[in-house]
Amino acid sequence: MSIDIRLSNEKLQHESTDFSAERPLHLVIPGDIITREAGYMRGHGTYMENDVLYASVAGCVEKVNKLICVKPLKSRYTGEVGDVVIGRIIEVGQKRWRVETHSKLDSVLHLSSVNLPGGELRKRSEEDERMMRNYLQEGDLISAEVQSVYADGSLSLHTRSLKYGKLGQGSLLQVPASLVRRRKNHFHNLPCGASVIIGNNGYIWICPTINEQSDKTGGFVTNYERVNSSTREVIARLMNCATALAENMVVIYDTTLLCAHEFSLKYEVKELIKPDIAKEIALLTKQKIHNNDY
Amino acid sequence: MPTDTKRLPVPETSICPSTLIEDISAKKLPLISNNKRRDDRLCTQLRHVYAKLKVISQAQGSAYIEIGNTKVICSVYGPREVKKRDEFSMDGQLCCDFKFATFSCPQRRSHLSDNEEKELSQQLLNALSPAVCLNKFPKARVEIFALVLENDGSAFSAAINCASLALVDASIELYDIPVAACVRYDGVNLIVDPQLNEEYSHQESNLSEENGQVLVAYLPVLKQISALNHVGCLSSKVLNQSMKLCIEATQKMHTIFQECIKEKVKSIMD
Amino acid sequence: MDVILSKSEKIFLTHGIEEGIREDGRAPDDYRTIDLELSVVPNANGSSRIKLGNSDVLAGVKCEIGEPDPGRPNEGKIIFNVDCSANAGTEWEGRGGDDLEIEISEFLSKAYSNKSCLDLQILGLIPGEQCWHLYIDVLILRNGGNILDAVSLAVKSALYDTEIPKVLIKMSEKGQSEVELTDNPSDYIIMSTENCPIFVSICKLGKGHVVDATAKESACTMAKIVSAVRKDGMITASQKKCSGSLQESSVLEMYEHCRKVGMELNKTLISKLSEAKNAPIVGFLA
Repeated sequence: MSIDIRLSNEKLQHESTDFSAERPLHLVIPGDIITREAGYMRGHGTYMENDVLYASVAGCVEKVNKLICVKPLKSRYTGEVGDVVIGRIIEVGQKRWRVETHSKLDSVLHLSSVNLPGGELRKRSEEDERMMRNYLQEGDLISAEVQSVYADGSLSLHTRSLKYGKLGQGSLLQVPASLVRRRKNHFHNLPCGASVIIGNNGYIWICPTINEQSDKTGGFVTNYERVNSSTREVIARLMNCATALAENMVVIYDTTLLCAHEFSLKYEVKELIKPDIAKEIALLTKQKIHNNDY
Repeated sequence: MPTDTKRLPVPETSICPSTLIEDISAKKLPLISNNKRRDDRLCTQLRHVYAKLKVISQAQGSAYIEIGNTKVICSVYGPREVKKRDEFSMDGQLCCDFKFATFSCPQRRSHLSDNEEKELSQQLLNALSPAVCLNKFPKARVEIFALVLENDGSAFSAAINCASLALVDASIELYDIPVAACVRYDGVNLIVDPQLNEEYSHQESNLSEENGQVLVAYLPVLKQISALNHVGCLSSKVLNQSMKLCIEATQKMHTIFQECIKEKVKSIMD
Repeated sequence: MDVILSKSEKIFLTHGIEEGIREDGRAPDDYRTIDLELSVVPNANGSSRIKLGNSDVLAGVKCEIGEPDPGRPNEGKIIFNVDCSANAGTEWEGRGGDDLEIEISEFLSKAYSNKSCLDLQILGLIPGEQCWHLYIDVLILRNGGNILDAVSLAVKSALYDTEIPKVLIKMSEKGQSEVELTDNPSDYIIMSTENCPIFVSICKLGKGHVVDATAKESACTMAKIVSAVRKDGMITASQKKCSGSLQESSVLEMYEHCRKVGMELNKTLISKLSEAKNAPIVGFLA
């Protein structure tokens, strides 16, 4: 039984290393003038008034050729076509499921966008509609890809590949969406003994290793077998590492997770939830990634 | 605060005269003398129980129970459809409301539910939920209203019993019948089914430090505890003993309720 | 805060707890890090802030002079009030948090109703006429699971920090007793909070039970028992919550567990409180 009470003045004050010296950042707050020059295209986070470009969110300015946009510190996830997301079913509707993806509006998963048992190209019948709840119920977790974005910004998802579908046993973690960058691969089988799916919307799924061949059933068969304790410890450790990175605003992808996991091995899993140790690991990871970049 | 126009307004600072009478003689008597309680019962003896089903015609099911002088009436409405789309659930819902009538206790109670009654409503829900087959009425709701007409001790346990009987009368599918009983410990003795003047009250200063009351609602067939509520300082040894006594008392009550229900069913069949 | 979980997630969590490994690697009777600070609110007679994992609770005590209960003329009164701040979640906006507020304040009143917890005779001033009313207000800033335990820690700490001004009882010219505050602001009385109870919530998940459940673990709980445990192991109030049922043997096991954890938590808190009283105040920005 470990009970740890600490006083506020006992919290260690870490010195924060300043990484910005190498790359000058153009930081703006709402209302700041970005540029008076004409000929630039307005991107997200900006507005134009009297031919002057102002910022509408607090963040740093990003310039891509003639496109200027302001990337905010922390915003709700806005989807793009092709993003991998993890969502939770909140409603079973007519020929579609409503999925919560931690974005401004709930996403939608149409019955025609899922793989049904018995072949892919079958026309969806009435019976399929009534059997929707047998496949995905309220509360189920799915991994999916964004098929299209509607005019109001809500997303339409699809799970038309065997690697997507209903998720089985594991743990879900929520981090700010801005910490997850778009990369080529979001499904990782980590060497430490667990698999990780990093959703662009900030949901991270950690589960026992998915075998390449045998387990890609698209989520039709849910495995309720007991997971062994060593795998559970690895999953718990990865969970705490990811939480540590998220709380200290470190970008999360497979390399950072593996780094953090490596640094965390000298501590016991349950010690990683202590804020001081979490901060230490996040800082070490940040430093290592920074050194590798330069 | 909306003004209540139906009742005569009572001055805010009114006090019941009985609170000003010092040293009510009954309170000074010890709980047990010569192995008999103040009303000549033994420590483990229950008061007389009278139960009647189908007392309210408009309700789906209803029951009236008298345990000694404690009188409780309960009605069950439903299962009825839940209109709001947001509250969709494949399991049925239970909604409980527990109320003391304003004239039921020595001190007049408010006509609006106060915090204690709201909390007891929630506990009534927790006590009855394990016994109800909620999956048999999806998207629907069952409403249970329990009203204490006279409180002479162990009112909440009487309400649980009354609500169980009302559920049986309403033909709602149940796994088991929750039966509740109360036990009071005064530092020396454990007494079952305390009357109002035997109940735990934190005002009593002449009793020993270890002093409290335990309520247990038991499912006799499943052998599980569906509600457990204790107030007052007790050691774990006394808690264990109290729980065991409560469970024995509930088993006695269960046989009484079984008889009552069978009689009712027989009278309908004939 | 109701967290929705899928069936597989619930099974994963429950199996883990049966084997003794929780989602974040803790053992079933480990608490998350508790942050404690006293005297955070200068306007109150006593205050404390407790952070238990993600849960954040602020408690303040204010003393006012009022009339005692007619049945207890020599004693003061303690009145509990809990407020769930809408900052913690949109579901607590308006009257949404009422149910939780009533649940917590009723349990606090029950647990503290016992004479051994606080000596209310110190709060009596003029018998039958005036006494101290202690208003203990709890504000829940963030609910990250196990909110009852956090509230009880905050209340005990706030009461420890409370300084009740000393008063002089004088006879006025008309022969009536009058209460007069002393001019010296550092002249105060402190109540002994050694016997104040701490709540321990034990949740039953599958065949195992855990202490200090997170929001996810609470979502998988069928039944839980909350006990108010004093530092000597006596339980002043307890209640079974949630809509499941328990076997008698499980209940006895859970009570034993509650007692052990409660005694240990009391011991740790009491030793930390004396340190905290002399520690510099850091404030909300920490």
